[in-house]
Amino acid sequence: MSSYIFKRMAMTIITLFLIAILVFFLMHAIPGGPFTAQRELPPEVEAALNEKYNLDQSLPRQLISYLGGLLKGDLGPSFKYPGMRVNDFIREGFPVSAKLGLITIIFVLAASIPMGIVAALKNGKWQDVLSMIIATIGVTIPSFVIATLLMYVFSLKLGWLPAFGFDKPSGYILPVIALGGYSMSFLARLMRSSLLEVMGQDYIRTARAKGLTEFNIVVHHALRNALIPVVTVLGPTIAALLTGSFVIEKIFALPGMGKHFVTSITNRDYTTILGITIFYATFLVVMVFLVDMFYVLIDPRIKYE
Amino acid sequence: MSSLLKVKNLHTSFFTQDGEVKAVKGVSFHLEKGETLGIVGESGSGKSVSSLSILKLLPPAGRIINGEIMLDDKKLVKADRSTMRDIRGGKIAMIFQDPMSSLNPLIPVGKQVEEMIKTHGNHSKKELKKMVLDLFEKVQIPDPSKRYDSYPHEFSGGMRQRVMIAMALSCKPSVLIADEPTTALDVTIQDQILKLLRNLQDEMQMSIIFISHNLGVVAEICSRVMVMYGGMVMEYANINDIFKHPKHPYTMGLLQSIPSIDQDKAVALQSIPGSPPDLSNPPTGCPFHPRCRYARKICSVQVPPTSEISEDHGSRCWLLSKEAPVNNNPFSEQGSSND
Repeated sequence: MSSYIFKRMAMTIITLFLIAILVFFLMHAIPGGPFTAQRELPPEVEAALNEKYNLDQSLPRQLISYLGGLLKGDLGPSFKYPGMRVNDFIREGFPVSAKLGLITIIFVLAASIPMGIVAALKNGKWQDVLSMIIATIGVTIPSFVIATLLMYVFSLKLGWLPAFGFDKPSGYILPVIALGGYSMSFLARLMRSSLLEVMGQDYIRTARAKGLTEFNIVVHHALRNALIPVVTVLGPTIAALLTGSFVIEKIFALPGMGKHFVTSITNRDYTTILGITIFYATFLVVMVFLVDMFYVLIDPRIKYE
Repeated sequence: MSSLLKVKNLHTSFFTQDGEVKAVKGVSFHLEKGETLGIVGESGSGKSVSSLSILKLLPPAGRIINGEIMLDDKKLVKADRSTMRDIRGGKIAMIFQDPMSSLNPLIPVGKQVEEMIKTHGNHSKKELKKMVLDLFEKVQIPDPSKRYDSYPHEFSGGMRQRVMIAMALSCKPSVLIADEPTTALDVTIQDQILKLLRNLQDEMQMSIIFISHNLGVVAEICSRVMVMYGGMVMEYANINDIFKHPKHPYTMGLLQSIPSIDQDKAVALQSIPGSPPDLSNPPTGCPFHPRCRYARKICSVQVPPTSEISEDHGSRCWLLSKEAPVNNNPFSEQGSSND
């Protein structure tokens, strides 16, 4: 087991380097560069800038010097915001995104799992229909529509909740719902279908034939089995929620990390694109790893060697 | 003395999108203390549904429409949930066809057996574990204390079925319903499991309802047999009468379909032509008439009544009625003699 974990960690580091290399070349394949603007710069200024940021060197050379920095944990300077380093963006933006993300994850788990369980156990009854209507709305309507709608109703019309910022704790409510709506709905549906399937299994019939109470059957026999697919999805979902959403951060004017990710692409801010991609990828790979480890705890049939 | 378990005129239906599917249509039988009753039939004959009805373990779409099930003096059809919970496992235990899927894959087998005992009585942790180990010993699981913590996937099919049997017997039930317990196992393991069941039955003085589509297996373990077809009991008799003096064309067909070891290889295997009825659109009259070589006009019109041939031997066939013709009637010469 420990040798497996060691192997996985080595693989994780290799994966991240491969991602960095891939993104590096993809990014340079996009036409234009950080200093191409509508109003053309004087050639000598552009040349000076290129020289300053090593853009005059060959691509492999640039890559090697970037990877060298990466090994030391330095993600390089931003091309677009002089004096800022990509590490600064993450240091400033990530806590904001992560705090919102963490609250959202708690909300998603607390809402989706009970909702899915109730829907499955009351299959076909009003509780099921109601949960699935909510979940279908959550899955189909994009987050920005829900966000604007929530803002219109609760901030503008009713004036109950702030429309932007985290100055008051209540400022978290709308962003959390808008950000987590999709994941909450998706997980609720997954939980429902997974539990429904498990409840039809032979071993549940065996549990009934033993004379167990229905509560006991659900808690001890069905839930653990039904959670396996949910856990699979949970890893990437948590990574996505923690690293922030451009759309939600834009709508609610939140100083998170998501905005940098999108603007850096239009700006061709090479180091920022790379840095944030690697940061996100690290999260994703780590979450997937944790999920794989978590399987071992719930399912004795899974063993890693 | 009254029977241990009595089923009277049981009707069970499934309510699907295409309407009501009558899976069991008026099944009656009784089970005496210590005996083994075999229920035989093809898939879809209603044998499993009848047994699941007894414990009310039907899937959500299934419902008992009519009839009564009596265990000692308790009426089970209208019994509430907590009464049923006491009976399940405590009085009537069940083992199922597929030992691969009948055990929870995430829980050690010892715990799964323990859970059953815990549900039906108060014991200390130490006692519980000891009881489970004794049971494992009884069903001949080698090295019980080591196997206690194993998971189902670490067991073979036969071993899992032994775990199921240990579980079923853990609360000393008076009735064991075995729903095709050996069908999913290979023949040598089948034999071991049958022997085990027989020994345990003698030891624990319990009654068994043994469901199977394999007449050979039934012959080995049962004292009485009930042959089901299309949701009805076609014939019931003790094991000798069923094999030596069958009184129903379907039973005869089943017996003829058993290949014998010294059979001439040139002779094709016998089979009953046709296939079991579609229960959502059953034939009128006798459910077997479309496949019966002796079928007459009345067979497709009216369901035959059960004719009593002797005490505890009955058959649902028009050929046994007084007005039945003599030619093309396999039962006519024998008349009422039944030796």
